[in-house]
Amino acid sequence: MRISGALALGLSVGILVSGCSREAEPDPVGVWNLKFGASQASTGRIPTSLLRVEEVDGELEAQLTSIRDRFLPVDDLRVEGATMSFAYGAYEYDLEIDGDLMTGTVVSPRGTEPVSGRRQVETLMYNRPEEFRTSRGGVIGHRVELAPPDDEPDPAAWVLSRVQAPRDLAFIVFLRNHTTAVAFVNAEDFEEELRAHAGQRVEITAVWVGEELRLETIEAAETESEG
Amino acid sequence: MRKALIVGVASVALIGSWGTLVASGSPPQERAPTWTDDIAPLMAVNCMGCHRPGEVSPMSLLTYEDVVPWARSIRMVVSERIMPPWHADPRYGDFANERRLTEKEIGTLVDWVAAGAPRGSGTFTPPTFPTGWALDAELGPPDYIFELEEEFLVPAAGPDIIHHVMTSTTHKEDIWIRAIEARGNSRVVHHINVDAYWPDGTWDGLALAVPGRQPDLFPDGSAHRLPVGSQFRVEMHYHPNGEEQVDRTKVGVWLARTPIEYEIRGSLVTDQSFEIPPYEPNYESVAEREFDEEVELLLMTPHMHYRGKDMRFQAIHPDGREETLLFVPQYNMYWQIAYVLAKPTRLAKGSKLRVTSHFDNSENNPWNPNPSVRVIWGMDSRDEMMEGWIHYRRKLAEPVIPSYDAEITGGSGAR
Repeated sequence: MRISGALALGLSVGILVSGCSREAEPDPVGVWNLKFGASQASTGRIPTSLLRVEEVDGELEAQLTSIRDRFLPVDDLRVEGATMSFAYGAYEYDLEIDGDLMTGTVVSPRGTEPVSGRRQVETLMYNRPEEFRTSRGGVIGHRVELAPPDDEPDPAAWVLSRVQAPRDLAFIVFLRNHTTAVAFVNAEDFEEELRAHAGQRVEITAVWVGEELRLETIEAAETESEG
Repeated sequence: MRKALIVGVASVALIGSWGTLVASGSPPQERAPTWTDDIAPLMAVNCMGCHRPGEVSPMSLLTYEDVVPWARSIRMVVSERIMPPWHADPRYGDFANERRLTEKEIGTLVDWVAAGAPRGSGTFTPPTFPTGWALDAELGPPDYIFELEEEFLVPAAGPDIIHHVMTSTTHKEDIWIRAIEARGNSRVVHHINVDAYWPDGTWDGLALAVPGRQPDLFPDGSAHRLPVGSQFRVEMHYHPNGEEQVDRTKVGVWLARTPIEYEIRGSLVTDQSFEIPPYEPNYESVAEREFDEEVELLLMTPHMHYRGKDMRFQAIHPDGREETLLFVPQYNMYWQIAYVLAKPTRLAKGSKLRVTSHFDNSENNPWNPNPSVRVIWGMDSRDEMMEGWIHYRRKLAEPVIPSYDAEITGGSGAR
């Protein structure tokens, strides 16, 4: 094992290159979402932080996100077997890696806090992209021709006359100076409800799936909605 | 993913190199800086306003004993310009509330830590901070106080909460607001917006309270008008912090008592038409506003959410000349900073204010809650906003001499 050469480089801020030879297993390389103990969170500190460990030219480097901010390099990175330690300003971390989990403590002038971490897989911030469930107001219209004009006497007929397949029924969102259509990935499953609300203002709950929505509930809007 | 990591390393390398230059760039000193002579006066101005008991900051930095254990962290965040939080590109603008340390000041702090954080032989008494209204000493108690009728419970965990309260006002004549201050539980209040809705539907942004920001005290002779029949809207944005907290935000309003030459308006330049594709790393959004009369710009506040990267405010003068007034190259959603111009910037009739911003909906954005979705405008922080908040003032045709005979009281929610 080798210890970080940060001080030798004379960097006052922190290190860029921390030298450690690494055991084949367990593997510290990756992005870890760290969560801190409640007492630390209660001081106002953002209760999560990202730790990024990389292998560059056979040596390990690590950076940690600072308070509500960007990645900064850690000092004194040491990895030995399943244990990893480093300093981050006045914080001293001691962690134990167990597969895709890590646990340990961080010691600071405020005391000792428990830390737990989970290895990220698909994105940096979350283990998986967070499911984004949304509630919105809009109109059931046509995915290309959008919504009927305000003075259309029969909005439902206006929409339905243009629909050739359930996927043509879309959620029309009115932004300040722009109108856009969002298709439903499960329009077939909700075809009856969508047809019943064609041309109407509705409130929906749905989950974003790529550029489309997976509809969960739909009901007529009680009042005018800004969309 | 590999590419993302390499990009990240490059960024860190640049930051680190810059930090090294800063650290080594301070001129050699005959003596090491000391707490009493050099550091405490510096931190009194730049740090202690937030880093004191009862404020949002996680540790007090009022005394030598408070500070020394955190010396290494202070060196790190100051060298990296994470603290004090100030994100304006120094090439543009001259701001009255600038919190940017000079390289000499950073060097002093770095040298002090390197020297073992010596105390020095003198004494330092921390400044006294007001416990009530910050403007009390200068203006006396507020003329008008809005306060939540009930405490609002902020849970220990969960997503951010946006809670807003509308209250009607009952004053019988137009009033003019010279200063406004919002106070909430700073442990969980991320920011407080105070807006006025006029009877004709006009919206006027009055104040934005954020941790560490001074209250809004408008320039002499300038005030917000609040017409008869207006409503106040107070919006609290809460950020759960790990334990239950209660908040009872209150807003103090001071009325103008001297002749008013300028009417202040709070407004925004916004694009709500953007549709950011999945995984798009640098989506550009542009909005413009043209002024049909001469105005003077007072302050600018960029507002975006998790995917916001940068925002630039430019004046497009009638002769076509473009002038950058503010550029925030590394936007951080957690700091809603108002950049107050040291001198109001004149915008002639026909001028435009252009706001340009970029969004990172890629996996390389560590704060991106979901890079796989299309992103459109929305209040949820996982949606996006592209708003340049501004305060500007317009000269009145005739100065207004305010006089207030009627009692000024609020309706529901106010007292």
